Parts: sequence; structure tokens; C-alpha cells
Amino acid sequence: MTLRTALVLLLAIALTILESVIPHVLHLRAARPDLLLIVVLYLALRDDVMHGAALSAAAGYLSDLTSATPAFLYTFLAVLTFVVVRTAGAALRTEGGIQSAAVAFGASLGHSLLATLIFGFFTGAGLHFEVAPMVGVRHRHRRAVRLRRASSRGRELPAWRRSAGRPPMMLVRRDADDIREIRPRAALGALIVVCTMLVLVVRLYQLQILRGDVYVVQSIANFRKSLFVPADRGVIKDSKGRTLVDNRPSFDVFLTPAFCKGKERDEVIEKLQDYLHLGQDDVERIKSDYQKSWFSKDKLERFKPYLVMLDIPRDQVDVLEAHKTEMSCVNLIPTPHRSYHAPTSFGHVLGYMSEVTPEEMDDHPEYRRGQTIGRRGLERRWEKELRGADGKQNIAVDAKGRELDKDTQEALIPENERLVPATPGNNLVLSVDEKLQRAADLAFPGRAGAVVAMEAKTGFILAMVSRPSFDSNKMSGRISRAELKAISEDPLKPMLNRVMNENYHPGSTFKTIISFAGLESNAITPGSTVFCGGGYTMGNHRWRCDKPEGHGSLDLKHALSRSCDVYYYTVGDRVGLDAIAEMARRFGYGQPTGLDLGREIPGIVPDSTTITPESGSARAHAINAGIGQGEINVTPLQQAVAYAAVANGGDIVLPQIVRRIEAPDGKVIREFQPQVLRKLGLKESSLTAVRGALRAVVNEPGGTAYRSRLQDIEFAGKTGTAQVMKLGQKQKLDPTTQAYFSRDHAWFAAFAPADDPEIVVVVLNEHGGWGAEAAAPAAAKIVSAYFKMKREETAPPPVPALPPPPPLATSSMVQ
Amino acid sequence: MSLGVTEKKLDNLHWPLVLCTLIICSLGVWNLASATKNAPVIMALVQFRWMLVGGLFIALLLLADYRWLQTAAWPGYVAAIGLLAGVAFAGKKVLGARRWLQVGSMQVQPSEFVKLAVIIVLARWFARDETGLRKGHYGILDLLRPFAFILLPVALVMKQPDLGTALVTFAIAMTMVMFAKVKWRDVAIMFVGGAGAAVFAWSRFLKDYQKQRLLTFLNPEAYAKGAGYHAIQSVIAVGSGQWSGKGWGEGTQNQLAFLPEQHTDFIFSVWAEEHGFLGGVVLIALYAFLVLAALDVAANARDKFGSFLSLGIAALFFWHAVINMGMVTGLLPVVGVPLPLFSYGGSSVVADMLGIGILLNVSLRRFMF
Repeated sequence: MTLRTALVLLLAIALTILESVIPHVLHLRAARPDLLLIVVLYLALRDDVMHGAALSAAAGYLSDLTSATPAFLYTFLAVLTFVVVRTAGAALRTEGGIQSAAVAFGASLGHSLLATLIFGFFTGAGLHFEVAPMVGVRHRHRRAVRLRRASSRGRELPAWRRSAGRPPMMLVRRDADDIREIRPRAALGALIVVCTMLVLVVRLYQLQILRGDVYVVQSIANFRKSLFVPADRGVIKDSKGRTLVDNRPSFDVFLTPAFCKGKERDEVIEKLQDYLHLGQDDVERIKSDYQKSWFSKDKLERFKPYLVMLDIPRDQVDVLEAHKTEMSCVNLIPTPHRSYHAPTSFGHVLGYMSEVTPEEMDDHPEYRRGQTIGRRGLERRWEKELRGADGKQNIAVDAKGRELDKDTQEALIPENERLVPATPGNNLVLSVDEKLQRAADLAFPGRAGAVVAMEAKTGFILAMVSRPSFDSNKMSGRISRAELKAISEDPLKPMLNRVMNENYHPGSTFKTIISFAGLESNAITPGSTVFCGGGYTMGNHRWRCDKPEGHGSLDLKHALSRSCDVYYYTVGDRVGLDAIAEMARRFGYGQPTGLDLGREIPGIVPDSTTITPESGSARAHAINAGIGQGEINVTPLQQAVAYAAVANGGDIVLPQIVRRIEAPDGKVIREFQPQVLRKLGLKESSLTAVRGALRAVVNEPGGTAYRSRLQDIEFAGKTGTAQVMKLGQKQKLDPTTQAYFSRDHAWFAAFAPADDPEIVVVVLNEHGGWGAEAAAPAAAKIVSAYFKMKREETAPPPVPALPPPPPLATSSMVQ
Repeated sequence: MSLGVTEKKLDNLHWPLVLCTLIICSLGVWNLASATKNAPVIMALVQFRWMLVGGLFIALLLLADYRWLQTAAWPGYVAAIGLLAGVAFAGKKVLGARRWLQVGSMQVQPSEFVKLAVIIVLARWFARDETGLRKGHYGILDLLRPFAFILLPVALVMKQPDLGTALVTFAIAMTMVMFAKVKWRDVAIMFVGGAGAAVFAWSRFLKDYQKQRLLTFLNPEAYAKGAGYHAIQSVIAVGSGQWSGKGWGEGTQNQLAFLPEQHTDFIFSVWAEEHGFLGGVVLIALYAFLVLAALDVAANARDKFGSFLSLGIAALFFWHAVINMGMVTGLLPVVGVPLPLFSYGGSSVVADMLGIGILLNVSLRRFMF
């Protein structure tokens, strides 16, 4: 129904009112076109059949009421007329407008006449028009006379229809005048009544027809409550399928303030303190959260449970369950909780979980208050895959929030809307081997540093350790404010992932790169020699060799295996800073390696455009760079990629840590393939020469890592001892700590086996001292562990030994 | 000389009014059955029983000439005042208000009958008073006396506290006064005076929660969780009925208890939710017809007393229906005013039926002298 038709209808109703009132005033009784009916019939010619029929029936009924005809006469006639008119209208092809109005008027008039004729026939009222002025005794007399005549004609007017008439006897009422005064007021009153009722009808129309949809939605919203069905988070497994992190139920204690007030509240908190062994600051926190909830602007806040204690141990669960009835406002809710199986050694790889912040909820509306989100490492990088999607359960509740019985539920909420099942998250399978990771963690001797073990040919990471690390379980669970503070103030920065987010001077490990720079630019050849006299001079500056007496004349192999500084000062000087920088960048230094695990720093590779004159000439920089000092800074991960390139024959691989993503049922969703980012295009002779030299470092006497050589495997590598940059003035440390922080970093980069390498291991022992002492042994242990595990996996399972045969009862063994 | 009835009584009976009342009563019981479907007591049957009692009273009442009410006016008035006073001091306290008297096993709400008493007394006063004839109209000073005996019961009712009933009683009385010959100028003065009195009453006489109701009415969303809850839920119930409603017993707002007071003050919400716009219009039309029929009776009564009585009853039904339905649809603030013959409540039903009985009585005897 449009506004226009509504207005027309309104007008018609107003006119109907008038036609009800006017008879009182004008004594008009007879066939009169029912104005309401006219409009209805007009609508019938253009509107919906059902609506039209219903409206005409309603109009007819209204007519019945106001005319006090035998019940439903007008109603019946109205519907009949409607049907006739509709058919006629179709035949006449009227489509709204004046035509329809005219047809409708005619129909209504006809209907009225018809009705009066029928009615008159039954009651003998006949047709009579009476228009009489209000005042005047003469009129009264006239009317009385007329009636008398009418009655004398033998026709009986039904008594109650004669409300305007006077009795046959000419009697004057005592207060006739006063009553006459009342009539116009009564008529006015009638008008007011009808107008007021009309206002109500219009209001109903506004609420039910115009805004009905909105209210239907609101009425549904009243009783429909959505419960979230949390999704299972995906698990992370290592390359052999061992679970590194999965989910376990944790029992969390919640308190709903609205259900315990005043004294009861204090009792409950006291009991909680006792059963859960809470400390004083926990009690303070609970009390202040209670107050905040109670005095919140949102009056419903106090009905929402808030967290009292996370993940309580099993025995406390039992105690709370036993005393449940005493604490009606306390709830124990099992929630899925992340469980890390090797919490510290995998800390930086996996990351941890914490509660989602309000800002994050704004950006990601699928997160609800109290849910956790991954932080750092894989938990953060693959949050979307791991999380899955929560399901929803729609239930019907009454005004008190109580669930309704099953039948009502089924009636109110259609089958297909009742449950949206949760989609569990996908699982990650890593390239990391848990056993190797543990071995690396055990082998690493230092207080701080990093270990990276990587497949030389594919770039898949086999182990990744950053020390100091954090306990993922603790970070995801109950950690006190003091502990958090301690972590953030720890000068060793446990939250820092040193593998890719901290850089160091590479020291002697950079000599490998310098070698390639020299060989490729033909500044040196594998056989050419340089004389080391213990020092190198440029201008009035002298750089010393690590062996003050000098090594004498060396070729590449000996220079590298003995780590002669002068040889490399020379090469660096010959090649020049820019060529060094170019070779370094080719090997992947100075830019992120591309490992998809979060933020990665690029390191620094100086060239003639980046150095400042105050820091020295380009030559000086080149000489420093020759031994991996100066401004050059690299991350352990970059070292791994560079040495993998040396190991695999010149391919810069993309380091990766995830092998594949699996659905919960095991189906592979995504498989990651090894990626070669670029080929170095190095000369075969260069590669052979350098690799031979690196092999000599470990396996030939005189090599800096000779003492770390293994019996069963020949591995190659390079030691490095990097001088440390000056510590910033921000931290004030005690002398022992100060002494620690100024010690050299110890490097060792290895690949094994020396010919056809499979694995690259890089060890950085922060402030560990000498590479040969503080890093090489660890790398050797890791290499050894790797091959031992490999042997164990491929070896056939040992046959269980048979028990010795029982001695024969009769024979005696004579020895 | 016998000025008796000249035609058979039953012919004179205002049948449309009877029919209308019967329809409203039956719809009322039917609707109440839905609204109280989940209630422990079968309220619909109780209501029906009270309607039968009311019907019985009507039948008895019709036997006598209504003019005996003139004689009974003042004693009735005093009795009503007495009952009100009884309530004020010995009444049961329900939800912070003293409105009920425990009589044996029944609960009586005297304020319902007070309305009738006021109507009868005022009708008598206007019928007898000669001032109208003398001066030709009523001035303000002339109206002071009827004013006085309106104010006494109104004040007692306010004390209960029952703002709704007090307002309605006052409105009915004022309506009756309007029908006496009062000059328009005086009407205007009374209006202004009334407005002033309302402001005065706001600051001095209204209780906090009553003020709260008015504030809530002006801005229901602001009090959505508290005082505005009724109004908002009622509008939701009404609006969600749409064209033809959700069906008997299927209204989610009332069946799931989102609508408070659904069997008393908000009974119209139940009707509107379950029978939609069509049902609502039908009911409004029925009430409209009832009031118009009462006016018709007033216009054709044989004496002034009968006229004013009928006018009073017309006003009774009018104000009750309009204020209740206005309140339910959010047009008026929430005041506790029952919907005649629809809201649950024995006293209200009996009082309303008595009103109908008076109307029928006056109409029946309009040819008698």
C-alpha cells in the first residue's frame, strides 16, 4: 500500500466519520454511498485481490456496526460487490484513475441501494429521506406528525431505529431544551472520538505496516541467542610428524559479578583465595575488575563473566568442583589452550599466543573478547590457517535468558539455522627436525647467539635456535607482571630472534666471499700467493695479522685454512670496496633472505656510495672488509644462505621452514617446493678452490678448526672471530657484564659432507670469544648428530636378540 | 396517570450495544487465554466468571429505573471514599502500591468503582443544578463545587499511588463538565489552569518513579534497560504483528515473557502482536462503536441525569481505551490504565459491565416518563 492510497483511505475514513455524525445532526437516514466502500472498491480495481477483498469485508463490517443492520449483511454485500466490480473492472479494463473511481462510486451506490431495498423489505423501513433543521418546536411537531402518519400507515419502525423520533403522544420532555443542547455537543464528541481512534489506527499502521519489518527483526533478536562454537586450532608438526604444539583443555575460572553482591562477594573471593592459593596482587586484581564491571556504563556488563584465573591445575579443579554450590557466581569453563611440547628450544620458531587486543578486534571482527591470537613466529605468520573458523549455535531463550524446551526451540529456529559447525584450523608440517633442534640447543655453549641448520640444496631449515629464548607455554599462559617486566628488561633480550633479526660483523667467515671476489675478478688465482709479514700498511695506518710474526707466503688454500688476515687485506685492497659489495650482495648479504617467518633485517653492506668520508677512505673500508670487519653486518640466516650457495655449487636458495599445510584429516592443502632465487654463475675453478680450502680448515693440520674434526664425516667450514662494535651509552652495566659485552663474537659456518654437501650449519656464539673454540665444536656436534640420525633412520631395525638356550638338565658342562 | 412503557421493553434495548459488548467480551477472554497461556492460574476462566457476574448485575440493574441512582448517588460516593480511605490505611501493598482490599477470598480494587461513583454524583449535580438554566451557562466559579468533589477521590487515588487511575478519573469528570454549557473562553481558562496545575504537581506531588515514567516516555531508548523497557518491548510486540499478526498463542513477545504486565496493562500488545493490523483496527472500531453508541444514548436520553450518566460512561470507556492503547503503542507515557473488558481484573470488568448496564438502562427507558 503506497502513501497515496493510504492517504486516500484516510480521507475516506474521515468522510465515513462525517457520515456517521451527520445523521445525528441532519437526521439523514437512507441509502447513502458508503464512502469507505467507494475507496475500497476503487482500490479493488487496482490492488491485490486479497487485500481488496479483506478491506471491503472490513468496510462492510464497519458499516454493519455503525448502521446496526443484522450482523454481516453489509459485510456480505461488500464482498459480493467487490467480486462483481473486480470482474467488471477487468472487463472494462480500468486501471486506476478517474475511471476506476467512477466505477467504484457507481458500484457503491448500487450496493447501498441494494442493501437498503433488501433491508427495507425485511423490516418495512422503506426509503425515506429526512432533512430537518435542529431547532424549532415546529419541526418537532412536524416530525411527530410525520411519524404518527407513518405508524398509522401500519408500518412498524423497529424501535431502536426510531432514536430520533418522539412517541406518538405529544408530550414534552421536562428538560427537552437542555437535551437538545447536548446533541450538538454529542455530535462534536462523536467527531472527536472518531478522530482520536483514527489517530490510533494511523499509529498502528505506522508501527505494523510501515515499520513492521524492523520490529519483527527486533522481536526475533529478543529471543535468539548465538553461542559461539570455538574451532580447534591447527597443530604444528616437525618433518617426521612429531607434534610440536597442539591443544589441550585448560580450566579457566570465571566470576559473574551480578550473581554475588556485597557480603557474598567478599566470602567468595576469600574462598577463591584459599582454594586457588592466590597471591595478594591477584586478589587486588579480582576486586578491582569486579568494581570496574559493576560500575561500568553498560548496565549489562555485570552479567558478563570475567576471568579470575587462567589454567588452574587439576587438583584445584577438583576442589572448586566440590565447593561449586557455595560459590554460585563462579564458573569453571574448559577452554582449549595451546600446549607447546618443547617450549624453550622452539620459542622463536613457533611463537606463542596471547589475548587479542581491542584494536585488533576492530580490524578483525571475527575475533571475540577473550580469544587468543598468535604472536611471533609461525603462530603469528600462519594465524589465519591455524585458526580455522568458529561455528555458531543459535538457541531460543526467554526473557530471562533461559533456554527453552526442545519443541519450542524447533518451532522458533528453523533447522538449517540451528548450528553452523566450526571449521577446524589446518595443520602445519615443518621442515624442522625436532631431534636435531634439540641437539642444536644442547650443543650450543654460549649464553646468547644463534644456530641455523639448513638443507644445502633446498633451503629448507632443519633447525633454528636463538638464545636466550622464552617459554612459549608461559608466555601463552599464566605469566606474572614481574616476570614480563624481567623479560623486557633483560639486557640479553630474550624476545629477540637472533637468527634473522640481529646482525653482527662476520669476521673471518667473510673471507670466503672475499676469496670469490678475488677469484672472479682475477685479482688472485687459486695458485697465486701473497706474502704475509704480520701486517699490512696503507699510508700511515698498519693493519695487523692475527699471527703477528706473519704466515709467510700463502696461496688461497693455506690463507683460508689458516685464516691469514694479511692475505685478505691484500685481496680486499686489490678488489676494491665496490667489487666486494657487489659480490656480497650476490651472495645475499645486505638484503633479507626472504624467509617467511616475520620481520627480517637486511644487514649492512657498505660500498663507496654509503660510506662517509669521516669513517675513512674507500680503500680503508675495503681492507677492513677483507677480514669481515668495518661496516659490514650480517645475520646468521644470511650466512647460512651464502654458505649453502658455496656448498651446492652456486644456487642462492630461498630459506623455508614450512614443508606443507595439511587439512585436519591429513589431506595436503599446500606443498612448498624448494626455490632457487638466483644462480651465482661462479667459475667452476673458483668453487673448487674455495671448497677445497674450506675442507682444509677442518680436516688438515694447521686449519683453524682442525681440533673439531669428526672421525666418520668430513665436513668443511670456516671459523670467524668478530670484533664487537662499541656498546651504546644507553645501558649502564657492571664491570663483569661490561667485560662480557666487549668480547668478540664467535662464528662457525659449516657444510657437510665436504663433497656433495647436504646440510649447512651456522653457529654464532655472541661474545663467545674465538670461533674455533666457542663455535666450531658446537657445529661439529650438530653435524654429527644429523648424520647419526640419518643413519638410524635408514638402518634396518635391530633384530631382537634371542634369549640364551636353557642349559640341558642332564649334561654337565666341564670347563 | 400511568406514564409507563408504551412498547415492549426488549425492543427498546440497544441491541447493537449489547452485541458489541458481547463481541468485545468474547475477544477479550480469547485474547487473555493466549496471553496467560503459560500462567499457572487459568486467568481467562476467572475473567469469564467475572464477566458472567457483571452480566448478572446488568440483568438485575435493568429491572430498576436508573433514576434510583440519583438517590443513591451521595451515599455511594461516601461509600466509595470510605473504601478508598480503607485501602489507603489497610490495603494490601502490591509492588509498592496500596490499591487492593482483601475481602474474604477476593481482591477488590475500589478505585474502579470510584470512577462510577464520581460519574453518578456529577451527573446528579448537573441534572439538578439550576445554574445552567438561570445563567444560560456555567462560569468557572460555578464549577468550583463539582470540582471539589472530584478532587477528593482523585487525591486519595493519587496517594495510593495510582497516577493512571487518578488521571483517568479526572479526565472523565472534566469531560462531563465540558458537556454542561460552558463558554469556550472558560474552557480555555480551565485548560491553562490545568496545565499550570500539572507543572505544579510535577514538582511537588509526583513521585520519582512517576517522573521517571514521563522522562522515559520522551526518550525510551535512553532507559532501554530499565524504565523504558516496557515501552520498547510493547512497541516491538505491536509492530511485529504486521498485517495479520502471528496467530493466537504464537506471539513471541508475550509468550516468551518479553512483555511485562501482558495480561493487564499491556494486553493490547498481545492482541496486536497476534492479530496484526487487521485485528487492531477491528478492536479499535469496536471500542469506537461502543463510545459512539454511548453518545447516542446520551443524545436520546429522556432526562438530563440520564444524559450525563451516559456521557460519563462514554467518557469512561473512551479515556480508558485511548490512554491504554496510546500507551501500548508508544504515543503516551506508561501509566497504569486498563483496557476495558480486555485487561485482566475482576473489579475493572464488573465496573465496566455496570457502566454498560447503566447505558442500557438509560437507553431502555428513553421513552418512559
